[in-house]
Amino acid sequence: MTDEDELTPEEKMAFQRLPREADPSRILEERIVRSLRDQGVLGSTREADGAGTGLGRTRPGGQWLRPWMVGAAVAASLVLFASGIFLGQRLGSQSAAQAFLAVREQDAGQLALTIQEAGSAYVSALAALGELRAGELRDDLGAQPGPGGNPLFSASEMEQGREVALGALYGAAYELARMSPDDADVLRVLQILEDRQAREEGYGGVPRNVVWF
Amino acid sequence: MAAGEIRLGKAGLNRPEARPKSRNEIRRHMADQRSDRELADLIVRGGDEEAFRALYRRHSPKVFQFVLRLLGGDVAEAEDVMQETWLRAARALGAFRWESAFSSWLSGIALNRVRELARKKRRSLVQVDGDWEMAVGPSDAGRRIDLERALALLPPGFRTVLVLHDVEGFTHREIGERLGITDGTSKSQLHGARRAVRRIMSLGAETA
Repeated sequence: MTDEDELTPEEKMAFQRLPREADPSRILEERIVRSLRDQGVLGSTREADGAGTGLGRTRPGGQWLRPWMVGAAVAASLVLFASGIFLGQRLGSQSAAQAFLAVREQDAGQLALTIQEAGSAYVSALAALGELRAGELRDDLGAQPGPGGNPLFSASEMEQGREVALGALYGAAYELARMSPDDADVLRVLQILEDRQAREEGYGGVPRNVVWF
Repeated sequence: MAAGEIRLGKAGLNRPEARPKSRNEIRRHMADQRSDRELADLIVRGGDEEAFRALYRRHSPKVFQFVLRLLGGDVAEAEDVMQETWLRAARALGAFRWESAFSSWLSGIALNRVRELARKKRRSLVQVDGDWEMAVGPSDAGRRIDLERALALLPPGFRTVLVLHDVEGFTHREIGERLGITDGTSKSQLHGARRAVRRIMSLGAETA
């Protein structure tokens, strides 16, 4: 180094070469998170996944989005598929339940076919639900006439069907993201559904009226 | 493609090792994709821990290095400052107006915490009182002193201005605003700091 007031090119380079990042200890992160939990800035509970590193998502009302909720959403989707079987009688679609029962003991190729079949049943059931809803709007009735003219669905059941369908979509998006975590489009879809759930379930939103089975 | 074969493409079924193991890993991955502002919103609105961890992991390495350097390499003090910095930042997130980068805001909070610590320990971050004795100790004898070590050996008053100006790239005006000193004081401290670093390094070179 020289005695000049300005840095020499070598000195400048030496400063530029200094490291810009250093990792604090992992314990520090836990210390900070714990303090923020104690202060109520972050949620006060965490998922018990045994490893101590898996964290759930907090809600201001104390609600947590736990794996069982997503699992319940997927389970509830089965109800939708069961409905699909019933509605499928109108539409002539094949049994989704059979497709699900066949999921086990299949190889990847068969699984892809099963997904296609189940997906078709899902979309068909939704389309049928949409038709009923259109009928509801046309007739402005609280209950929907079935194929024989008998009321099959109330408006609240119709709404429940819609929410169950969203739950299934959410569960499917999660599984897709697990399969391909680098797919930005899939992550965007998942984020949209996450944000929607956050709006509907948390932040002072109205609780859902879905009955989880 | 043979008849009946299903092409699975990028779906990942062919590389299971690449799949996240749990939904929490998916959450973490998703949080990493979000912008600072989106993460901050999740923290402010819902106390989202995963969002906080993502924000923390994104910005901590840079801030920690900055703080560590300002404190002359004292890891314990640097971690205390980091903790205070994040606690204050998390509590004030809702009031942050996003007129500057989050990282600049965070570094500003960290610098204030360093100043606070200096006040508590009666160290001056801007003045070097009396004749400064070069603190080259026995452990430095006989070995080359690199720039990082030379910075650590500087008195805090010199080190702060030198780090802010020559490492972080702040102007004298910005340094003056952040430390509550005049531009002139900043310039004179920088002058003294550079001379001191040169002395330390030349001494190290002589004894090496």
